[in-house]
Amino acid sequence: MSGPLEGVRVLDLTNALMGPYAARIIGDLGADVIKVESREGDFVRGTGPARHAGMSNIYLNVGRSKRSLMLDLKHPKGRAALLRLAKNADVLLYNIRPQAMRRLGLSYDDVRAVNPRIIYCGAYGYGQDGPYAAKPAFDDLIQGAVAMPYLVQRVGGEPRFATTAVCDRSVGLHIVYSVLAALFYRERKGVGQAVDVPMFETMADMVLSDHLYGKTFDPPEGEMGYVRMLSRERRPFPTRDGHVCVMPYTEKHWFAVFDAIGRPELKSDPRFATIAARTTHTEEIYRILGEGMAARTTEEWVAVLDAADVPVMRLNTLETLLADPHLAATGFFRFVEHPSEGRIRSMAIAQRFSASPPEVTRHAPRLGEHSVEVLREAGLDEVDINELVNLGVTCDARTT
Amino acid sequence: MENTDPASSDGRRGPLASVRILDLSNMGMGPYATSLMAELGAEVVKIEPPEGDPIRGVGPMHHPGMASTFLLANRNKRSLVLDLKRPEGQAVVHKLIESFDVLFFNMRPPAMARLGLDYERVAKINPRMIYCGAYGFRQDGPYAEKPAYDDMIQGLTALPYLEGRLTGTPRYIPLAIADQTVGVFAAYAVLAALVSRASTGRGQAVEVPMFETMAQFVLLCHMCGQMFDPPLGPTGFVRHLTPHRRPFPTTDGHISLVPYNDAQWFRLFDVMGKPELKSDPRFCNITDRTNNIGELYRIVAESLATRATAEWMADFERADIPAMPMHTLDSLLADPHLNATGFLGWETHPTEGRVRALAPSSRWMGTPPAPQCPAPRLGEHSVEVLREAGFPEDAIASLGASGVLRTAG
Repeated sequence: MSGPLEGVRVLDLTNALMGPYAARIIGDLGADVIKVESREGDFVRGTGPARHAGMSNIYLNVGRSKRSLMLDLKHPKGRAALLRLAKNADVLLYNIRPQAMRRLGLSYDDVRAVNPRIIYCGAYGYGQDGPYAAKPAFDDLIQGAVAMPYLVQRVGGEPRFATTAVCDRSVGLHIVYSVLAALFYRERKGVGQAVDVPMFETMADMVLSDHLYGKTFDPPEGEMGYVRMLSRERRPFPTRDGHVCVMPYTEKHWFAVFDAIGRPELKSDPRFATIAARTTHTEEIYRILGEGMAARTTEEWVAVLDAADVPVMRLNTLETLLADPHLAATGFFRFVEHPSEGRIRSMAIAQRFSASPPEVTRHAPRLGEHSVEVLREAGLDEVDINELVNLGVTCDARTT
Repeated sequence: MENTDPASSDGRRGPLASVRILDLSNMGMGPYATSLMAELGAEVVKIEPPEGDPIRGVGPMHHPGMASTFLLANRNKRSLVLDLKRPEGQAVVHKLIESFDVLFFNMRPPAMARLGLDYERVAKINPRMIYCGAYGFRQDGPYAEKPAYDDMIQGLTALPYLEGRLTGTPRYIPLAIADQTVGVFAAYAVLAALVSRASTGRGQAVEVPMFETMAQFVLLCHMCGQMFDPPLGPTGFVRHLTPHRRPFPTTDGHISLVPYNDAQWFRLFDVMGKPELKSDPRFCNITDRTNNIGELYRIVAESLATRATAEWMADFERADIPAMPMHTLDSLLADPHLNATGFLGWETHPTEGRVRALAPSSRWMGTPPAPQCPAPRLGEHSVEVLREAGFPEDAIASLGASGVLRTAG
């Protein structure tokens, strides 16, 4: 093990995408993450192409840097085993609602009775003191609830969800820093605590940070909605053979662009003279830019605008992203050998740490692959473990 | 539950109340990262050039330099204006580095070196320093020197392309998704380094590149069949790329609907008045539903178009089917849950009047974050920060006279 979180032990009771993504990051950074799964296993194991049942591509990505312990928490012996593990854990992560944890006999009070230093982190849909407390939460529901499809409608004509699980992933990241902030505090003061990370509030903060806009003020200074981001003209511009992403920002950028598209007279146009004026005339300036970009090929524009020091990038597809020259040069993708799933693509940890560089050392485990090893470490003897296996409270997938 | 956390000597509270951050970042990503840490109690001194963070000018405002976007992302920070292009300004930062835990920046490393703030120099002054740079690209690849803005990182990581697959027109997500997401990555990277320092005593340099970070974010689900060698199929996560997956129009709005297991789907078929679908071989289990998801979503859309949002929501609630009405920006501000939980609030800014304030979204039992403070005017805390760092009055006066240090007007 290596990485800044070496020595931290996490019991991860989450499933699907959000919690497991957070746990993977914490595992990538060097923590020992024990994924506690039901007999059926995390259902994300079944989502998308797979070589073997329970080992889907999404699971392989999000399940790495963990060990898998199958444990039936509804069985009293399963619960007892979990509390035994909790004694030596630093973090317990869950994504069912607190009432459901109470029903399992695993409320914060139950867990801290065995380990007062534990960070008990719950990540679920909605703050428990508001009217949505009991509602279920999925990425699509939260996207809709924080107006993301509405924003898409404003620029594209019809409401659509973002084409990636933005809420699951973003809130997953918020879980990570919340857990780390609590760990940092415990390092100083020796005190554990319970932390709640609600999806709806977290995403509302992300959306409103950009789009509260005129309604930041009382009385309002105008409508909600960040003008530039909601401009229908702001998009990757079609070139002669593809699309290009251009982002002139400063006056210097814009003037260089006006020259490059053969419209130098716009440099003295009062509509585009200051950042405030350009913001007011967002639609026009982007329309002019878009018309200009149609004249040449993507490669030509990248060369011309790069030379003029104007921020520009080509538009990647998923396929060209996999082949991107920068990612290739920095070794972002590599193939690794998974013991049961064969050669799979692995993505590097994006951040770099100079003193405690993390590295991915654990492949995504089969369901129950580490049950026996983890229970042994918690001090259960072979007789206890065999009994749990025979009762079906755990399973031993070492040899399958 | 008990609050175990006494306020620090200067009144700060929260799990990060002992952490001191020098924040050289500007625009969207970096200030969002430091605002998350400030929200949890960290002391953030925002070092700005004499003309201020450009984001001060973005969005509606009462006064120049105090636009809405700046006000939201720079709460709980103090503003110190320093001309870092002059050696006297650099000397001030060198002095401040002695007593801070984190130096956070978003310019590229060569630009930091030109300011005399490369890691070697900083670590020599304070070996416990967490030196975190969040910028566009890793420095050992061909894009190293390229500038990075949200739009460009979205384009590079195929987000507009994915949108184009659905609608025919590539478009950006209308949210600074790369800035905000990488901001959160940067926040946890700093915290991981702080946790590491608590046990090892050592600081370190941390690099957070936007492109690599977002590539990982997007490909987590969309790598799909290309995860395997040999591939098991193309890239692209099917459910997210079906044109039928969208908020379904009702007679007066839209509803997001996510039935997940068999029981929820079957209850939905009943509520829709189409119980026969329960025995339709195309839809009776998750594998068949996934294979026929387009057709299934089309049938659901047809049904939902026949009644009002509130009517459907009442039925979905009764039948325990996961659903939420789609908000507009304005209805989001009026949301009953956000208003009941105190997430949406107001604060009085000393110069900008009543402004909206969003409460921290996480809840802390032992160390609840302190009451939050409004965003500073440019240079509002220049003198106070230098005094705390031990600069004598005459030195502060002379820095002010030479224009290296600026204070709020």
